[in-house]
Amino acid sequence: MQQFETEICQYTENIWKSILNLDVKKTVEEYCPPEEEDVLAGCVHISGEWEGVVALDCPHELAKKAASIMFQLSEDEVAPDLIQDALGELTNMTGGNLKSLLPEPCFLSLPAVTMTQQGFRIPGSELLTSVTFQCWGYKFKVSVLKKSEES
Amino acid sequence: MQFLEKEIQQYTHLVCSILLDFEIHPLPGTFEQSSTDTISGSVQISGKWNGAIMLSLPSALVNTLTEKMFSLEPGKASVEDKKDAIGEMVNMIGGNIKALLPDPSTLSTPLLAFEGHSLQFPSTKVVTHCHFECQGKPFAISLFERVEKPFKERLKSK
Repeated sequence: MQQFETEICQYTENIWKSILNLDVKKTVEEYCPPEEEDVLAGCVHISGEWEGVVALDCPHELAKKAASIMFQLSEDEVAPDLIQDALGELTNMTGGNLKSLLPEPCFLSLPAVTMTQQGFRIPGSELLTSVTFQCWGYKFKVSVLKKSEES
Repeated sequence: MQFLEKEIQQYTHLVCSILLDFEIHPLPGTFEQSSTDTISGSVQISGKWNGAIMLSLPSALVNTLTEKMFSLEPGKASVEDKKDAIGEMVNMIGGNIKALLPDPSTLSTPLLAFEGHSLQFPSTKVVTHCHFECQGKPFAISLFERVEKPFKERLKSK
């Protein structure tokens, strides 16, 4: 069992259910997006007594569906900034929940969002935990990275 | 004059000259981001003041800066080298800017996007955009500040 894995599963399931009314479940298959798939990645930094990052990598199509539910719009009406806003908020909530497990004082940064194939690149950080979830036939991934001791 | 514009220009100049021995010059207008060629790095400030500092550069300039920083031959910079170089630059500029903002606040580790897609910061506004030239190529530093409007309120307004 990876560190925070139980909590990541619990928080992610709760957030997606309460905000989007969607059931998401952990899957053992790893989220490895095919090259042609557009991936939207969101991340929040935690700094203070504990330093690291919480990231959410998600197919663009799933982020668009999430935004359409969140803002009660049809998928055609969802503008790119609302898709980023929705993913940023889901990332922010996940990071905020995980922050409560960490030593105080810690600060949560603003969410950052980008379209990517490789996920964010975060120099000086190492992957602590990564959990893949399934929702509506799509996979997405929540990762926790910790600042390396030597950075 | 934009928020901290003079200081951002000063620190960027200082970092480029001390770290790289490169001269930079302010340019008018806005940096035109290419959909395929721009690399972005950011650090975030959290605490009493909340926002982000983003450095946007064309990949050719990233190569030049990385080769200079690590004394590499042209074309020899790896992706890891580029991550370290841009991360270090944005960290140094961000650290200097943080010192001007209200305490207590903390600086995050750098975050990079390499594939031509800009980093987006939902719930922020750009308060400062500084456009520069270095080694004949343009680059920019942008300062984003959190917009104090709770998400639920924004949700209602859509």
